[in-house]
Amino acid sequence: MRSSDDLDSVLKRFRPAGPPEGLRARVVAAAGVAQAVRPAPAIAEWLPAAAAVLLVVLFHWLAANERQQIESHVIPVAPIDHAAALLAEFHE
Amino acid sequence: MTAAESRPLVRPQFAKGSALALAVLLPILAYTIWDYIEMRRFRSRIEAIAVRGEPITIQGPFKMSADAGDADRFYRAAGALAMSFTSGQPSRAALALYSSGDLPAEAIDAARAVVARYGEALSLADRAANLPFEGFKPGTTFNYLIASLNDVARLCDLRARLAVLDGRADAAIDSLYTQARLKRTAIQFLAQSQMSLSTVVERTRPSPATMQKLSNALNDLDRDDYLKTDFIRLRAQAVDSSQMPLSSGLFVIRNTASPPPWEVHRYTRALDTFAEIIAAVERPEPARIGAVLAVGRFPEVLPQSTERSRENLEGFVHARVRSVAIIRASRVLVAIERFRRDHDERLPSDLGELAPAYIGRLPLDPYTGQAMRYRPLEHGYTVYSVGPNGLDDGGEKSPVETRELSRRDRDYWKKWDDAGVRVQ
Repeated sequence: MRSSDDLDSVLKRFRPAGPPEGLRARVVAAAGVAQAVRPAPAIAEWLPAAAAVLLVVLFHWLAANERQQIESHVIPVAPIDHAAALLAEFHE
Repeated sequence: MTAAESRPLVRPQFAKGSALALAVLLPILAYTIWDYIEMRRFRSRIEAIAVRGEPITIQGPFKMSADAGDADRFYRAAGALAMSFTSGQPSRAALALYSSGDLPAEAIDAARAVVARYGEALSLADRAANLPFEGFKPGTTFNYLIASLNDVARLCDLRARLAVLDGRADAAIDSLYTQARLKRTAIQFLAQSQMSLSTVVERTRPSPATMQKLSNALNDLDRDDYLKTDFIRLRAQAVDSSQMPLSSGLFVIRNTASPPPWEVHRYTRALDTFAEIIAAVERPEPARIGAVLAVGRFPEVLPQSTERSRENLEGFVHARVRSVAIIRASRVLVAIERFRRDHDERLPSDLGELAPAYIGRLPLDPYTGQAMRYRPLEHGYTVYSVGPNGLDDGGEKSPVETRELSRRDRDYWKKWDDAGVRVQ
């Protein structure tokens, strides 16, 4: 049977002697970066929606442009009460 | 754990709000892209029509001569004045007389009252008949006028029948002349004038001068591009009914909503169908009839095409070609009658005797591309086209025969047999 001294010597061999050097710096650095960009995810989260709005405006403008080009060929005329207008014309 | 470590990378309210906004925006974006694509396709079809130099819309602005402007005003006024023709009680009686093919004695007074009541409309149509017609000016409600001018044409027919009863042959022909000239304004009038023309020449002897005048009016109607003109006009009506364009710029909203993309899609498809049909009807007779029927569908945006699109296309084309066959037969009829006046009431043995003294060139059967058929009868003759069935069914039937056949067989009109005129 081993004595307690023997056990101590074994435990000393496996005892944690502290984190490796540089770990703290890495963790702190990582936490620092995360803190620096923390507002960005909120904006990034809205980016797709903002892009969608821009695209909606863009395609609406393009469609309106197409309508304008059609309008250059098709000139709408407001409907008139033709019977009244004609009768007025012929009874002047 | 520190306070900084407990914070999430994205704040929940932002994540939730932006996802919601995106969910709302994506369908709007899809709609806007679709709208753009459809408008672009529609615009390309419109520009293709413009490149061909064809009218895009009925309301398109165009210049016209002063006389044509007067014809436009007179016809519009006549249409407006005749608007109540089919709704009034006397007119219903007149229409019954009209459809019966003859004027029973007891109804003649009612018919005279109707003609007198719409005398102003008839007078305006008479004035317009002697003027060139180039179309209606923008701003007119074209579809309503079509229906009203059709009524004016019926009134002309009724007036001609009354003139026959009074023995005023030239007045009857003059009324048919006005009716023939009215056909310049519309796509499809009821092809009824041949019935009254037969009646007039059976019972009276009009002067050669008035017959020549009527002949000239019929010649003007006998145009080779009739189907093309019809479909171009139908297409223009379709473009008008699309109510495009309605928004001329970004965030500029007019008093009506712009048609949604699925509607624009329908109209674009209709324009494609029109393009196919118009290419088909540009072929020479009689091949064009088969070519247009091979398209197999009517443009879907028109009232005629709600159902049974193929059947409606056939109905439209056959009705139109038959009406042209009747116009051509009427031209031959006028030539035969002028021949008879000059030859002691002798009928020509064949139509070759008529050209070139009484008719410049013999018109052809639109269904065969050959000469119109001519068959002397015991007390008269018939001039006809073999019609859509391509068979010689013995010529145009008398109104009595037609009524009897229609009574026996409700679908008789679908048989599309011979089309022409018959004088007894």
